[in-house]
Amino acid sequence: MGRSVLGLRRSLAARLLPALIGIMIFIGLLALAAALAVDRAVESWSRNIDLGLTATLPDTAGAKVDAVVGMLRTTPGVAAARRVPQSEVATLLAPWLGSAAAAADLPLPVLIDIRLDPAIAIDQGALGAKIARMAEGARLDSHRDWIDQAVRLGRSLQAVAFLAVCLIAAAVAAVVIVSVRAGLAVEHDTIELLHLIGAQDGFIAAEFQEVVTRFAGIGGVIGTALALGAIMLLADLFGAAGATPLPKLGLGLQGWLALAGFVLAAILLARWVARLTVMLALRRMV
Amino acid sequence: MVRFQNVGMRYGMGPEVLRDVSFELPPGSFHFLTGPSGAGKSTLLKLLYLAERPTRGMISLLGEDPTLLPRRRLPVLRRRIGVVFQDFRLLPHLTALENVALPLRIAGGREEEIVAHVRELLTWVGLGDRMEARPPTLSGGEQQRVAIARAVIGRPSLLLADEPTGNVDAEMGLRLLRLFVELNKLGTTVLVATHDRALIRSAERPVLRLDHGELSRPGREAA
Repeated sequence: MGRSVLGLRRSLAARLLPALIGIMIFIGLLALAAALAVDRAVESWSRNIDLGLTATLPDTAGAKVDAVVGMLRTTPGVAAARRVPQSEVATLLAPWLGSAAAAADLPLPVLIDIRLDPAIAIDQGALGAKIARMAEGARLDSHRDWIDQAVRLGRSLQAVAFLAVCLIAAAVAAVVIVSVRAGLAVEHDTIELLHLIGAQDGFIAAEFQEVVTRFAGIGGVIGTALALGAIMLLADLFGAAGATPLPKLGLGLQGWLALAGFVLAAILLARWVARLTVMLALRRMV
Repeated sequence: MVRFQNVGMRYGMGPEVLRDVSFELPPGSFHFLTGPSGAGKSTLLKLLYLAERPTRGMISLLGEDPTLLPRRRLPVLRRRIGVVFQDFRLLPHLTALENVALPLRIAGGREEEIVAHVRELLTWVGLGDRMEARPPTLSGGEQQRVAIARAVIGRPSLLLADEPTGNVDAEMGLRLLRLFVELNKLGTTVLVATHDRALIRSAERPVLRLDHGELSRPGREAA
């Protein structure tokens, strides 16, 4: 007795609607995952930059390097300072200069990695000038310009991704509207009969919304499975990128919850749009 | 119960298919509606089961003026009206039992009561062994009995039947007529549109005759 009165599984394109919603949920999840990953990356970059500086000294600095490191370690606000081994510098430069850079007697700069104490403010300008006085040609780099550009790029990518998510939501709504209108046309006589034997518009709308919810749920499962596969694959690829500036692709618990929320929201949107479409259409019937 | 006063009806800009129709069906009455094809019988029934609204005149139906009722209140009024459609209008993907149960489900009845009630009625109309059959697998007469069962399952205050015996043999026709009479005895007002003169004669009830959209005065079919 629980069978759908309208037989909507036929008239609502039982294969096409879940497939279309599944595709849109897949694309939406990728866009949202990208936005969330960029957000985390930007946050991570900013945090690291705020807590660290790099002093770059020419390769000719010699014994002045130890003096600079010693001065830094006694400077209030500096938590730690260490000379980056030349092998590590060669590794960092390898993507640009090739792995033979160290062996090729290229003049690699000396890098001093400085970790800051977040509890104590430091005058970076004064510190940079002091280092330059101790070792000619030395400079202090906070990477702020680079990170600011990266943050702007990240925020732009995020905005585009969120726009894509909104457009996908609109597309889900449009697909449901078209499908429901087709169903209303196909089932016109049956709907008229239901009205004549006393059905409220809500009874008929419930028939549509239950079937559309089921189809959207199927589409959601398919789209989510495909998107999870793609996200895992991309995370592996990003992880394998090694020392490149690409951030590690991570979403965190909140990110995964946001993805689940997106799928749920898409299904609920489809359900609500189906009901609204039916109710508006039925108002024009006797 | 039902009162029409100078009711006129036209479809779109076409000619009037009903003209100045006035009649009254007292509560608990049983009338036949007859007339030649194209006389306007189906249109009159459509006005009665609220599928159409009149273009002029006044209608009082079960104490309400349907032309003044807001749309959201029409379903409640429609649930008090049982209709046997000439073309049955059964839902082909539902079983006979599910088709008959539909008005009760729509009205929000309890499932176990619905099933028991529907089984009893289908058995009474001779379809006890065809409850799980779908309409396309039923004969015309069986479909008609399912349609009648669906119309009467909710114990309507007003029962409208459009050629209800058109696809059944004479014996089943009389059996169905007895069902209508029984319902009428329980207080249901009945209006049966039919060409079947034998059926009209056997019931000896008042007859409304429509001709070219106009209603002649009620009378009785001569035996």
